[in-house]
Amino acid sequence: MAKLDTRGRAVLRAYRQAKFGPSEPQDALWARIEASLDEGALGPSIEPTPSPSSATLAPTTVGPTLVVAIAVAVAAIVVAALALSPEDRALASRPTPDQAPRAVVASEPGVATHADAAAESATIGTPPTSPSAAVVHDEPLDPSSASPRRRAPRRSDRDAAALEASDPEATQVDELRAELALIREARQALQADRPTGALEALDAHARAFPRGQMREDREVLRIEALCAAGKAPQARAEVQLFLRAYPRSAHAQRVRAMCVAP
Amino acid sequence: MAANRGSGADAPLASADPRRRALAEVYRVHATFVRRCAGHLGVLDPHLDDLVHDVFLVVYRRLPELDRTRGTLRSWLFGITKRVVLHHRRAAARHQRRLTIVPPPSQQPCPDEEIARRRVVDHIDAFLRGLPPKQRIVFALADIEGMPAVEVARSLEANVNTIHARLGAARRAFARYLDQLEQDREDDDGEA
Repeated sequence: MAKLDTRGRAVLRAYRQAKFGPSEPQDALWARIEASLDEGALGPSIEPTPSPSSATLAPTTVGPTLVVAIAVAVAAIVVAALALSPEDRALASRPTPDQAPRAVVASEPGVATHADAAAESATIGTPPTSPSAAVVHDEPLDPSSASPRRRAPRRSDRDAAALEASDPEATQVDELRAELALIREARQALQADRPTGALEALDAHARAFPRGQMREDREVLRIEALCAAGKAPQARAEVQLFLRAYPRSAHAQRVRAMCVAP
Repeated sequence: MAANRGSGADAPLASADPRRRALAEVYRVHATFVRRCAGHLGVLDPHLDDLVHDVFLVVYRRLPELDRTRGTLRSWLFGITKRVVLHHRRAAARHQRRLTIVPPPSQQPCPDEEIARRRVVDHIDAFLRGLPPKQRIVFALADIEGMPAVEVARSLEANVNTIHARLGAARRAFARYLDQLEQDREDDDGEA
């Protein structure tokens, strides 16, 4: 493969500096991101990131590796299904499309070691006291987010309860995931022109998480679903309730425009 | 939460929410990378802030799903950035929106350094525009962002040999382009 010579490297370095400026994150933009998070915004709904492992395998290795991987995956699913409690099975059967697909084939080890350590990744577990003191290496983010999909060995209910009690953050993340699944279900039903299905999913969310983190999104979707179901007066009443409850919501403008009387 | 809002990305490290702290750290280290990637993917400058904003909202949502055994943080961030860019494009097409970009203010006379800076940007932008899109993004990630080929392959969900081939072709084209620029400059100097 052709190599980049010194001249080319120098030109590209100059280009990067000239085009994008100094590598300083923008404080104003961060403040805006924080404000959006405070308002409960979740960003655009994007497709899950596909597993990179299968895509990067050399063609000659795909065939046999894929067969073995599928066999292992099927065995793992069977074992997991047998090990799950009825409640777990109910939760597992609920779609969680927001979750990234899991890698079936083991990823290539040592990939991260190729990366440029200076700009590679940040250590999140031990926040530095100042930006300049940040330790930069390739450790997992924080204990709660490092490998959430790695299922612990089967535990008794008491053990599980004790673990959850000792790890409220993990519980919060699980709850948020369950909330997201219901909200996603409602959104998909709306997109498929099934407002009744959307309202059912939203009712289920309201029952399970009356004070959930997604309640604002739930109310917005409810108004949309009521409109789509032809229940305009009820939708308009909900609009007023929403604007009273969330006067500074990022959705306020959109909600005001919903189901406007002709 | 609002009480924790700071003026800089390091301020929220004091946030009570560990995920918010993690996000702050990712932002502090990788915000400019995300911004540059969005630029490489064709997002125009006036929209970059909106794009980066949305990317980090998705990052916040997806932090618990991050699995570092599947690749580096940068390739994960690139994957999210790519999808947010696609989302923005689809949304724009769906609503038939045509945003009018306010033209920049009239160019004031600027110092030589600024002229040189603009010239570099113009030349390289012109070169990148002339590359086939698949070569362009590989070249940008590998030679502008400094990603190893394996990481580029992961980020683009492509075979590493394919990445090497595209990168080789782009580098050869870049060398020819620089040669041509030098030749043009020498010709200009000769005429002067």
